[in-house]
Amino acid sequence: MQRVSFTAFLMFAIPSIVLAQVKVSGGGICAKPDPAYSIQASDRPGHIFSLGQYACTWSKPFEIAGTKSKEGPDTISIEIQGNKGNWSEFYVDTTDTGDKGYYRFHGTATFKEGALQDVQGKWTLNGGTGKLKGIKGSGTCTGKGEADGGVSFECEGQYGPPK
Amino acid sequence: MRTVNLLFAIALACSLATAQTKISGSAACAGGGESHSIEVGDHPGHVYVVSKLNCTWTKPFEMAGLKSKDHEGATFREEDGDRVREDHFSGAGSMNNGDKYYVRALRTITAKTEKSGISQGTFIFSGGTGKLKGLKGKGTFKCTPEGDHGNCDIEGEYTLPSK
Repeated sequence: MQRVSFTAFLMFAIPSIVLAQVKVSGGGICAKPDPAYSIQASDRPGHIFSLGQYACTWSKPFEIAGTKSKEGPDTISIEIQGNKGNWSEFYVDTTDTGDKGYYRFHGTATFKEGALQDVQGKWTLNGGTGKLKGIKGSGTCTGKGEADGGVSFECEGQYGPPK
Repeated sequence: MRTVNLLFAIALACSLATAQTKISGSAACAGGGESHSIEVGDHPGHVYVVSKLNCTWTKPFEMAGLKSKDHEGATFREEDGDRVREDHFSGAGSMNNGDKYYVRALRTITAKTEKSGISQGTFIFSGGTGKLKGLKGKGTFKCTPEGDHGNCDIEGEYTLPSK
């Protein structure tokens, strides 16, 4: 009986410890993209491929593996058709410890008269350097276009140790 | 007998409604002079690129009695060193009478997709003007680099609404 219980403990407890997911939430603001480029797709009016890079800072950081997200470049591509856009980005965060985290985000955005209104989608953390090496995470983000051309964002999700 | 006639009529209607016309052609494609790239920031050579693409049909394909002439549009690529992680195109083409077709293309990405090598993938037609209004279709493309341009062969099929 004792052997059965111990085996059962090993079977259920160890995987749950190894794969434990830690919840995170945070947010911040990204300044107006610079540089920013746009090219017309040439098929329909208002169909545009845009490329840009925001400089983002966290006012409420993610806390991951003993680091706090801080700031970094956020490179985006958006395919805009009318007032809607498909948003794709790669964000490199430099944490308070100097480690780097590599994030991807895919989502949708809405525009009004060319100005970003809101954006929402899913993020993934695909490792990084130092304490973030091999760390995986995922979750959701929402963003709101600001009058100065920047975007404020809030994100939540979870991360886990390297598998 | 009446049942057989009815089945025949249904089968005929279905075959007419879904009749696909095959097409094939070749084009010479080159960057349209406008291209922008941004380093993502995780390591050198990892970039987002947006650029203009122009193609001239050297062996036109035919649709609705018209011959393809040229097309242009915008592409987005994510390059990482010698690898391409994402590559898609959207644009419009002109036929010899000025009617237009709208097309989207997606490069097939493999673990070893190289930015300087042969590119291949799939495309879809998503409408058009004049005789090509309501155009739908799909196919494959394969482009081989040659000097400062690429030679692209396409094969596919299309349908137009019955009048």
